[in-house]
Amino acid sequence: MKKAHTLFSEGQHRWLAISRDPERPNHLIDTNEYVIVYGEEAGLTDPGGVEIFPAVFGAICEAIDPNAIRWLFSSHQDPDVISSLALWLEFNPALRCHISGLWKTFIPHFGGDENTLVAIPDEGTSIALGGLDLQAIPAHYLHSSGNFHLYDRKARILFSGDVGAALLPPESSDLYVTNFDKHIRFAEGFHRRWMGSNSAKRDWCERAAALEIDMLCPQHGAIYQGDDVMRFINWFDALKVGIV
Amino acid sequence: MSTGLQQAVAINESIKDVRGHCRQISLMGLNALILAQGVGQDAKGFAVMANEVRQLSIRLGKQMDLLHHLSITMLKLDSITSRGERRRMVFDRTAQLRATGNYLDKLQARLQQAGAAAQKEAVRLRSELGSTLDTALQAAMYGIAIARQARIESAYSHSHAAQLGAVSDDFRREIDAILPRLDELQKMLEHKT
Ligand SMILES: [Fe+2]
Ligand SMILES: [Fe+2]
Repeated sequence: MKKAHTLFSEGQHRWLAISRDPERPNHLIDTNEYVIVYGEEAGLTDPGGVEIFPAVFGAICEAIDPNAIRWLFSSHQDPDVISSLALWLEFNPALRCHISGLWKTFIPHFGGDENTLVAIPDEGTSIALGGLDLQAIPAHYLHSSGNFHLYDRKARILFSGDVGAALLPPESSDLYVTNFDKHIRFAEGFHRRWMGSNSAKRDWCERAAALEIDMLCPQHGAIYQGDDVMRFINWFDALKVGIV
Repeated sequence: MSTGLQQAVAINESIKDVRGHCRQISLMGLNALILAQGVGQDAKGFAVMANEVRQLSIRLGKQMDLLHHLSITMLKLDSITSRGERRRMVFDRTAQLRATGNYLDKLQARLQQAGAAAQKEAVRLRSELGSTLDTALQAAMYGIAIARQARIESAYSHSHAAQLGAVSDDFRREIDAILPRLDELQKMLEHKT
């Protein structure tokens, strides 16, 4: 079963990782969901697909009252990212879903309507949570044509969607990257194949390098922290992508 | 729910087939009318029957349109119900997790209520489908009577008896092709639970 782990906690401000699920069937790619709590309000990143909804919802309930969740942040349109939207809206029809404006009329095929979906403009925007301001950082073409990451300046955490993802073997269950060189081998093929544009990647690396990041939290695999964050950005910058 | 979809496809195929025969009958009626007018006084009775045939085809066609409309409504309801069922199953699975406490109680009650309402609506729709089909069957049975009567009337048209007789037989064949289709439809609807 999935479990919530606390990544950051400072007063009323918390980041929780609903990390990989050891019981997940093999035909589903494993995912991480992140819950950002600030005071009475919470936001959830890339809530995942229909199949894993019970595991995600259950893990969240163990940590917080799910009614506190005000919005979902969808880095892009993939099924492993947001196909559970209809279930979340069934639970709370007032939920909002922040996603690139490019996907605004596509995502309602999963659920929701023009009131549910809040379009993020190409240049990014800030998303409020209680008294906290989070930044939607452009990451277009990495890998989706309308793609955003979510940055919390105060916690110095960047949720990086599919960037930084690693397809780890089932036996590895570490929450954090412990050996960068060993870990990155499981990320290489994924980034080469999924990331479509070298120039977009360049832009992103520059943007990310300018942010103060203690933790880089991908949707798949383990979390990069401390020096591994810059190590990852440099590695990604040097990688040739868009290759079959 | 794929059986529901397959059944909807089968129902629509039958309806399409009956509609095809209706169009055929309508043309036949028109031809028969022109033919009878050409024969004149000797085919007066036949002309009345030919007119009846046309009216019948229109009536039957209307019933089939209604059936089609109802079956599409049924299909929509089916797909909404099956989506609701799937969601209910996911939430049931979620609610079994101890951690979810009573967070899902209200939601589950709401889904249950929606499921029951959809079921009631399905029962209502099915009975409407049934009665529309009954009306169509009655019309087709009446068609047999008209065909029989037209056959008799054709005999009074002296030199044109063979020609008009053949037209009545053609009409009878069309009606005979419709009846088993309507029977099939009735069986399909009876098995739709
Ligand atoms: Fe993706
Ligand atoms: Fe993904």
